[in-house]
Amino acid sequence: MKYETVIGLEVHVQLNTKTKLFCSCSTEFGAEPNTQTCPVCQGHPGVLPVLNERVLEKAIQAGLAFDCSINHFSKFDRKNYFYPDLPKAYQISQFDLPICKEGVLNIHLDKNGSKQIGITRIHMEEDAGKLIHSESSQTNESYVDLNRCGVPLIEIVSEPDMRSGEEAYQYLTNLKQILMYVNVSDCNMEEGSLRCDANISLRPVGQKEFGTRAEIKNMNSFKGVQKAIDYEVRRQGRLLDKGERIVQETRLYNVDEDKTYSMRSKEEAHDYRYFPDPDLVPIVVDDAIIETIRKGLPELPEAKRTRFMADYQLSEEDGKVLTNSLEVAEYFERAVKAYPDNPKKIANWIMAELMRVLNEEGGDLGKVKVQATEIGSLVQHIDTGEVSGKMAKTIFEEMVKTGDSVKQIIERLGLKQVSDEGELNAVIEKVIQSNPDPVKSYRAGKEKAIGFLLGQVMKATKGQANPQVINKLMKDALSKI
Amino acid sequence: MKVSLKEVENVALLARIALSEAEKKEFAKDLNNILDYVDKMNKLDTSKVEPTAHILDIHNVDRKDEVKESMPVEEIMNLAPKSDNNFIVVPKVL
Repeated sequence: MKYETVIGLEVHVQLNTKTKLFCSCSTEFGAEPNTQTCPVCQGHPGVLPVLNERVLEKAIQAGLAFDCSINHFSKFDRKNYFYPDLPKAYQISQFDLPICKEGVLNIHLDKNGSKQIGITRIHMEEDAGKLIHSESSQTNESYVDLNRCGVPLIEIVSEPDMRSGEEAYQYLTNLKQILMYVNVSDCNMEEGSLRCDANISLRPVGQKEFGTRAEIKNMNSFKGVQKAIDYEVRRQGRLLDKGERIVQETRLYNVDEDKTYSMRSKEEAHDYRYFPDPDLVPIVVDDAIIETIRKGLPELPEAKRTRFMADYQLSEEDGKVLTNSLEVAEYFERAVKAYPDNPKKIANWIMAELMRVLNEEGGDLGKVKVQATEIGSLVQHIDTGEVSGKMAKTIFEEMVKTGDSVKQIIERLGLKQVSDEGELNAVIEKVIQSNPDPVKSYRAGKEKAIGFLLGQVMKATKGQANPQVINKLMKDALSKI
Repeated sequence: MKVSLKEVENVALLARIALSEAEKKEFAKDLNNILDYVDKMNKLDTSKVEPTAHILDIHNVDRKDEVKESMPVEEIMNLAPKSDNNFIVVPKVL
C-alpha cells in the first residue's frame, strides 16, 4: 500500500544567556563537573527561583522571528518526574500558557518550490543535568554533573506538517539559521545547544486520521534526523504492509547501524502531573514590550536575500550563499560599502576565495584575517586596472597570511600593474629590437609568436605590465614594422 | 468512593512513597474527603472567574543576566551521600 508520512519535530534550543534560567550560575560550556551550581539549581528545599529577564526577551525574539503570537499572560508549571539528572524531581516548564504560539517557518524544496510549516508553540523551560554511566559491569554507578541543570531552553514544537525526511532537514536548517540571525542561541549540536526529537507516523494516502506515531530521539546531526526518519518510514511501512500494528513508543536512533531501537518503556505511562509553580509569579507582556522587541529584530534571512538580489543585482543562488550566515552577509555588505561599484565581483571573491579560507578555519570568520573593506579595495584595484587578476590572487593569499591591507601588500611586493602606454611602448620597442626571429615569424603569419614577445615584456616589467594593454600595443607596434 | 486503593497505589508509586496497607486505606479516605470538598466548590458558578495562576496578585519578578559566584564544589560533594572526582554518585540508572 502507499502511505503518506507525517512528521512533527520538537526542537530544544539552549538560549545563549550568561546565566541560568532561575539562578545566577554561569552557563559556560565545558566547566569542571558541579562547579556551576548553587542551592537553587541543585534543588534544595526552601530556595526561590527568580526569572532571568534575558531568557524572556530571547524567547519572545525567537517567537517573533517565527511570526508567532506572544501570549500576554504566561506562567511556569512544574513537570514532575524522578530521575537523578533532575534533583528537584520536577522540571520547571510551561504547560498550558506558553510564551509563544501559532507561528510559521517557510522551507524551500528543490522539486516543489516552498512550503509553510506551522509552529504550534514555543515555551521556556530548564535543562536537566548530565549523567555519565559507568561502563564496567562491577560498578553499578552513574555519575551526576549538575552544571547544565537549570540552563535555559526554549522548546519549539512544530505542527505535523512535514511529509519526508528531506522536509524535516530543510525545516531544521532554516530554523537554525533564523535562531542564529536573531542571536538567541549558538545552535551548536555537538555541545547540545540544539536537540531534536521527531514524531513519525504513516497513514494510507487519502486517509485523514493520523496513524500511530513513534517518537525518535538521539539524533546528533540534521542529516542524522533525516536518515532516522527515512529508516523509521521504511520500518513502519513494512509493519503496516504485514498487517501489524505500530506501537506508540520512544525509539533511539543508532547512527552507526542507521537503525532505530525501541527504548524499553516503563510500566507506568507518563504522568507528569503538571501544576502551576507556586514559587514563580505569572509573566505579563504588553504590546509595547512586544513592539520594542520586534523593532530590535535584525533583518531575517529571507528578507535579506531578496534585498541582496534587488540592491546588488545578484542571482538567487548568490543571494542564498551570501545570506546563509549573518556574519558572511554582514561581511559582504561591509565590502560593498567600501567599494559600491561592483557588488557582483565582490560577491564572487567572497563566495570563491573567502569561503574557501573560511572553511579552512572551521567556519569561524573571526579567525579569517582578511578584512571585508580590503575585499572591496582589492576589487576596486582590479577594476581600475591597477592590479591584474593574477596579482589580485597573490594579494589575497598575502592578506590571508598577514591581514595587511591591499595597499600595504602592493607596496611591499612591488605589485603595481603598469598600464601607462608610453612606459610600456618603450619596453616593447626594446623587446622587438632584441628578438628579430620571433618578430620575423609573427610577420610571416605565425601569430603564436606574439606570446613569446609578450612574455619578454612581462619579464622586463617583472610581471607588472597590464596584459590587455601590452597585447594591444605589441600588435600595433608589430603591424607598423 | 472516588479514589480507589489502586489509584492511591499509583499516586504513591509516582511520588516514590512506600505505603502500608493501613496507610493506603487512610489516604484513600483523606483523598476522597478532599475530592468531596472539590465537588462542593464545583457547584459554584465560576464562568466569570479567571483561573488562578498564583495566589499573590503580582507578576514579572525577574533579575538581570549577571553571573554570580556558584557554590564551592567541595560543599556540594560534602552534601552528597557519595561522590567521585567532583561527580555525585548514584545507583546506576541506565
